[in-house]
Amino acid sequence: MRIIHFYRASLWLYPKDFREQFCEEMFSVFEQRAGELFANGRSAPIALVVAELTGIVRGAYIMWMAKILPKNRNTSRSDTDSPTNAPLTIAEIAKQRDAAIQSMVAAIAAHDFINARRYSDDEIRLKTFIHDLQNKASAGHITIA
Amino acid sequence: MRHVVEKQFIVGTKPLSEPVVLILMSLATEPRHGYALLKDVEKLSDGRVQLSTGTLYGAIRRLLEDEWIERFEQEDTSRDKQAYRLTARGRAQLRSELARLRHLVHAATTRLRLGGA
Repeated sequence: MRIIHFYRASLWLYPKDFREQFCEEMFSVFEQRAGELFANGRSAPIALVVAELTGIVRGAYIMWMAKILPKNRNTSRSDTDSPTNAPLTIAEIAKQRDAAIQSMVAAIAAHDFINARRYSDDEIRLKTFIHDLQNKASAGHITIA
Repeated sequence: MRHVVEKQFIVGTKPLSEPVVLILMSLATEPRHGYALLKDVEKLSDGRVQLSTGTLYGAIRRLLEDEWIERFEQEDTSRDKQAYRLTARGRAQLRSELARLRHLVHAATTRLRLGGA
């Protein structure tokens, strides 16, 4: 089995949505990279193959985890970051709060009392976030401009 | 008279990973497709950083989700040669990261100077 075929087969480790979006591109890039090495009269060095396969296994694991645990997905910030560290404006927070209240009112109107809690999960997360923010602001850890 | 003041605040953000900084740097000048990005990242880092396709496209997916980059439609774009370009949001994040790094370099230089005396 040629290495290119093996590479293509290994792309099946990714979730379907990722495969549909990126696998043709990934294969094309790998082909170009391997082609460049062959053109220079070299066979694909073992280091390239190991790096690529490790990258795929690691990448596929991250994609599956992001799919299974959507709340804990990685962002473009470093691994220790969380989505709540994205910049939020007062207007955005108010919008999220209003949406949660509207959803509660709609649930009551539809007699859907299970979902008619005063605070949805998002609302509770938001309140915790605002509380944390107020603490940080009072401690001088964040800038209010 | 009622004054309405909308406050904008930025919550402290964490550093970007080196591959992400290099990808954003590469796209800061012009749109590029995957292979061009790999080569440019290698060139920008003097050959020190060689991204695997798995790492590159994992980062591209997150950057697309965060809207720091976007797909760039070219006339001759085929499915396997999709180009990407930096968005205004991505440019702002890169500037912010560079400011952080400048501050760090300045602080380190000052400390080294004081320590070396």
